Amino acid sequence: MNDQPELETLLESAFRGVLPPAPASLVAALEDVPSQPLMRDGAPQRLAGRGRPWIGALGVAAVVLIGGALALSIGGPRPFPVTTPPPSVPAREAASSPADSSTGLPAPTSGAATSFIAPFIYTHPAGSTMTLAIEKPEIIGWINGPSPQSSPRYSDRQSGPDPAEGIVVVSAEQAWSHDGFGSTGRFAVRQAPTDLLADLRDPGAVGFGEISAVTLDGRPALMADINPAGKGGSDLHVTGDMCCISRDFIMLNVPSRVFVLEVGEVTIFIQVWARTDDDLAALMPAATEFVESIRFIDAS
Amino acid sequence: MMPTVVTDRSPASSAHPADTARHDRFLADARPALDRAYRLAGLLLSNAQEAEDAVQDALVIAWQGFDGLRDGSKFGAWFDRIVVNGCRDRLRRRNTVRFIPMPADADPPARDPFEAFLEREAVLGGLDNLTADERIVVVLRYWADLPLEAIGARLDWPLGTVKSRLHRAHRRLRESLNRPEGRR
Repeated sequence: MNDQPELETLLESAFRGVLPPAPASLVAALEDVPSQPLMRDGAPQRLAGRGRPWIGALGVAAVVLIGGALALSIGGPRPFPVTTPPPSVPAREAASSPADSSTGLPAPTSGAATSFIAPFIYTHPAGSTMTLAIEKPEIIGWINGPSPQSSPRYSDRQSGPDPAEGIVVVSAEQAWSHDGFGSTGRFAVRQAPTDLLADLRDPGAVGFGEISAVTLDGRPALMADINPAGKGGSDLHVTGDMCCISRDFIMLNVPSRVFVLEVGEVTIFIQVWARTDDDLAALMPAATEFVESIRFIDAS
Repeated sequence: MMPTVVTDRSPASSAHPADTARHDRFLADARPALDRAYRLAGLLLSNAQEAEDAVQDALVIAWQGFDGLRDGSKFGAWFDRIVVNGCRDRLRRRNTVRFIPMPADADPPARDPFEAFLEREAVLGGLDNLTADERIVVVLRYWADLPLEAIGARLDWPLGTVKSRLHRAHRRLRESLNRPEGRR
């Protein structure tokens, strides 16, 4: 059985058998789907009356969690390396999520970012108190801390009251930035992930550390940490023309971990940020779970 | 802070013409795709019940993201991707979560049709030795009969990635067939 064509023939033949059609319960479930509310944020609804006999058998089944709690294990092997040292569980009060009765922590919350240019679903893990702060086709972000409504700058720590930490997902389709070295003024960043990071590093003067190749949602992505110490740093505008005022931008002069990937024809930039390196280290486990949970549902 | 917004556009409650049209378009696209999605999920997960759950989850995701599908003729490929992504998550989760039925579970269920199908042919039994991504590429190539380029387009994988995963899958399947204990 070392012959490649023979193996392919075997596979083609083996798959030719008759498989069962969708069961009636699934057909019925499909008819129920359009009765589900369209979610802009918050937990997506599960279908009512789903045909899951094993759910009824939960009383006679034991769920053995190997390698950690169920909520923390979702996502399986990590698609990108987490180099941040594990912090203690963040002590955050449940703000809007119902608490898990067993842990007292806010329960995981899932949602669908359908207004975003590259729609995706996501889950904030148990214990997360992130709240939606901005949602537009070009930018969607969650924060811990005071709302940034007083400032158009989503993640600016320079003018308060400011949020303490957050996660933001932006489209780089119209992105531009400022020359951090003061020679060229404003410039449009190039779209390819490697080019985008290169442009933000120079002339943007963003203090990126080593850039790693990772996967996110099964797609190739780049990951880098931002250490703003000693760097001018800059920002990334995601809407508006370079000539004029642009109110939607993210600051890149804060401790951050960023991910850049292409979804269809759109380049997506994800930033996990905090006021300090220690805060970022404490945030990363939950933020990592969130980033790992992202599933783009693009129509490419 | 922007409030959480839930917009109920159920045709039954609003009966807005645009909502009704969306509802009808979704069902018209999804109905013909249902059998294929269920079989695809079943082959990836080797379990009918889990396949049904995976497809139901995929339907909800598709419904939520339906407005983002600009070309209705691509519903099948788009829905394939949602199903495959959901199944990939479930396959990866199997590494860390096990459901163990207790003895009190009196009536054993009938033989799972997908498990039976996959065990009938020795070469398909080797699918269990593949990673999630390798299994996906084998099922899409040999069951769905998709060219490698189409698999890459569906999964947003570069062609080289599709080829390398298929190559690794072939190697593992060949190893399974050559192992006496791997034969069924």
